[in-house]
Amino acid sequence: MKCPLGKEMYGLPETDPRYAEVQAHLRSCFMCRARWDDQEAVRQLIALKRYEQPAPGCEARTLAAIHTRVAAQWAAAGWWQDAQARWYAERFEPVRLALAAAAVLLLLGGGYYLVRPSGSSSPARPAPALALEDQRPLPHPDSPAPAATGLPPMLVAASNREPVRMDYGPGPSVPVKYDY
Amino acid sequence: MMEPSPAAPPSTVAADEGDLLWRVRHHDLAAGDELVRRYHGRIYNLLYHMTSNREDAEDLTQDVFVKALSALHRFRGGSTFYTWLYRIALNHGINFLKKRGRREMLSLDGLDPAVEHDPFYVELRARESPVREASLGELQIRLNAALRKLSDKHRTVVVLHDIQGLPHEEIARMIRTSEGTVRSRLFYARRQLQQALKEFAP
Repeated sequence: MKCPLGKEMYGLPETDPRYAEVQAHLRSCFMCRARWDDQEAVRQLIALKRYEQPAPGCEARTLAAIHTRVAAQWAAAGWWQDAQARWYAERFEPVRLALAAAAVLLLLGGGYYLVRPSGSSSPARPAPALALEDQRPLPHPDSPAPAATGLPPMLVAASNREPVRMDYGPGPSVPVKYDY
Repeated sequence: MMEPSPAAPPSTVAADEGDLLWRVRHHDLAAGDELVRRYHGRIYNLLYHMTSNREDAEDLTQDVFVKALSALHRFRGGSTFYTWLYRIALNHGINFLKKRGRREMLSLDGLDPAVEHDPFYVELRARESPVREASLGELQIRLNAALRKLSDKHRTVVVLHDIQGLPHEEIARMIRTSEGTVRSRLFYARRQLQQALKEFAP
């Protein structure tokens, strides 16, 4: 055992495993023994303070005061909670209802948008009318040459105002305007 | 050195404490009164020994219980209610002493006449010591004055251990330190007290 004893060794309880070792040291070391006894004497002296007793009625007085103060606090807490609820109902209830209605409308609108018939929102653009004046079916390549129409194989426009059809072979020709 | 026996082990009174705490949380005043009755003596004594002033101790005791009962929802059960309450009282007492400083006069409780039969007191009176000449009241004033000279940390451990009889382990939990630190503080505090009471201490 280290000598002098460490200050945390003074007052070791008997249940501490080091207690027996400390006691053995105290039996052989006069200096540590004297210090230990001084500590014990002061402890016993100051412990006489435990005989100081509160005046009669102290507990009843304190109990009554605590009862009153705690009751007031709890009542105030209850009033405060009620006031909060009232204020919330008055100020926030209409806003809450309006918000709820807006949310319902949004949901309905969104739902309709998602499940609407596919053609209803953007009607299909009508197919452009054929601008070709000649919609005759194409002749089969093996078909005999068209019968002579009395026209020369290539018609030269006589006027640049009227579109003319120009045939360059067996297929139909594209009307060409020379209106420029 | 003998470990003083605690004033009342908390485990013996904690049988239906959970039920009481539940009722207080639901604003049952009768349950609150029961809790106050259980711990009033110990909390009052702690604050009285810390302040050496009975009026202050009474006011502080009220504050501590009002604070504890109002803030019971913050008690998570990590320690016993007793330890939690003591911690509130200690902090409240130390804060009060810091604000008050050293201005306050002593205002002491009466001494139980049983002190005259205390073996240590009888032994002191029998010796050739100033205690033989001093009245009990005089001794009481000297003890309180000496205690007030200690720092808050030192006074706290002396009050809890030497006067209230709590074991080192319990004190360490209350002030959130190690048992070694508690014993070390006790050692230094007693050395200071020995200086202040050298004509009384043998």
